[in-house]
Amino acid sequence: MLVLTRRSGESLMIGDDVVVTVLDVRGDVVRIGIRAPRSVPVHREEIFRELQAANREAASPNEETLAALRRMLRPGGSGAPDRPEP
Amino acid sequence: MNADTAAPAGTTGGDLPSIEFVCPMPGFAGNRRFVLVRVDEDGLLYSLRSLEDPDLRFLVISPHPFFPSYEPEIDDATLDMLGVDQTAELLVLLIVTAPGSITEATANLLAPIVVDTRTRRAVQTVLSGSDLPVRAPLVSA
Repeated sequence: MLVLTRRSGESLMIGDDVVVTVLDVRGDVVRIGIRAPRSVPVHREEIFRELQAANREAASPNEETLAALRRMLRPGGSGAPDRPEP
Repeated sequence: MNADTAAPAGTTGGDLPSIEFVCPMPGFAGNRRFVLVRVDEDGLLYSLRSLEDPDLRFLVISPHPFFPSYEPEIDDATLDMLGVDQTAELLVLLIVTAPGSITEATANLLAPIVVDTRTRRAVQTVLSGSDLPVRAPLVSA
């Protein structure tokens, strides 16, 4: 891992168009500003990892699961959600 | 901006044209283009199928029938990514996970998929600071 020392107010560049700025340091809390193109998503790492895991778990359920979900959602099916009358 | 959480408009006929993720869903970097296909008669359950990987699909639901009080605030960064303006019609979908037993099915309330129904652009956003769960039980036991 590349390690750099920065002071409050200083920035670093990642590639040509991502700017990461240290805004404020108080105790063990660091506020960071990120300027990146729209196409570059920025996430807190733990959130990203959690979403990655959740998405992978959700991906490509088998036919059995799908059939069970459809049964469950059928009116009168066990645990069918309340929903307004059409 | 409040997004419409009602049933997806224009899906009663079956399939929507393909939608494109402006940035890929976490964990699925190679997949941007999907189609949304209705899989039940009542329009509660949809299949989000990848056009790039025929084996990849997600089950998604409209939030409202399951989580009536769910009113996600879509942040400006997400609206910017989608390139939407005030006239945009946003569709919100929740990804369903059904591990093992169907009674364990959950929906991801923290990170819904937001679709601009006009441009067919989509993104999985994160409702930062909302404390919403990634795995909310789909049915009360």
